Amino acid sequence: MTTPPPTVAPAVPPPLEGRRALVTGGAQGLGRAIVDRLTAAGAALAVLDRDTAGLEAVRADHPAVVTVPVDLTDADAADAAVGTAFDALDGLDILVNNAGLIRNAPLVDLLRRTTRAERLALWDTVIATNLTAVHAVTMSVAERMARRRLKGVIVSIGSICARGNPGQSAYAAAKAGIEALTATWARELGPLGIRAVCVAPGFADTPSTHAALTGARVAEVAGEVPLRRLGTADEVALAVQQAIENGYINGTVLRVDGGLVM
Amino acid sequence: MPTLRSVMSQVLRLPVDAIDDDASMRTLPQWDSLKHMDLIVSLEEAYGLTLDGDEIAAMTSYGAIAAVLRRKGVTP
Repeated sequence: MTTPPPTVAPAVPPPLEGRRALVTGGAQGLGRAIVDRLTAAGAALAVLDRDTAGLEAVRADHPAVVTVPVDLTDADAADAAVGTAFDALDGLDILVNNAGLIRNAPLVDLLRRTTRAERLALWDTVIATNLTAVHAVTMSVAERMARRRLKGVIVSIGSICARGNPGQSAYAAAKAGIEALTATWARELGPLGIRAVCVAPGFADTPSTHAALTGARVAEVAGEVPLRRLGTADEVALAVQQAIENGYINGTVLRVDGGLVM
Repeated sequence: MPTLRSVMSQVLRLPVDAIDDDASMRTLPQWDSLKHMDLIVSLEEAYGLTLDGDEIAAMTSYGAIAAVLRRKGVTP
């Protein structure tokens, strides 16, 4: 009796093979985790970031990734960078709006450590980076997709802070704005076959979280999460991948917060 | 009337013995600018007094708060 040959399961292609994605702010932290995950899932990637050293590190690990150094708060430069990425990948199916920054400032500073002018300038910086640049980059990408009749998805990173967080007027307003833009784009671009999804992390164990909060506050926050820990960057990146893969998720906020309610 | 240490421990969510004579915004990471607003309101309610802007800006340590309270006739 001869032994039958071992059966070989048919090769399953990576879930995002053939898809082309642009990730903003992908040089480090959460953005880097998204880059790693989408690359592993088979997507062709372009990354926009102003962190040139971080972009070099991305290229070292993923030589096929297209990297474009750019300050996204400069709308003209951002549009040119999007054009470079779009041409290099011969189109885009996925945009991940991840670039952003966290800055804190109380509305009222009884300690007089900052002036009102300084707090207003900080507002402008946070809104420019976390909201206005997202609008500009999405406009630039969506126009190109629509012209080429490309269908796809725009995933924007929101935050649990969209529901309010003391000391973060600008950040909370920007992230609430992201949720509003997602709902708007879903309705506006849906007929073109372009979806919009917001992935809203709670507190993730990333460099930006540790830069924004003291160690004591990080421990306090972790204790308030029902799961008693911060999320990982890859858990947020996984939600981004799921939002991309599921073609019927549209116009909604996918919360990745461990059950934390602010 | 509550002691200053008990008011501070309640606002900052710290044990009373964590509020020593050298406690300040520098030594206690929980005591940030937002908690400072809570602390000022709690002090005004606890001792029935009103603090002005200069006093509020200066009260960044246990000792500084105690000094302001003494000037207002309150034993911390």
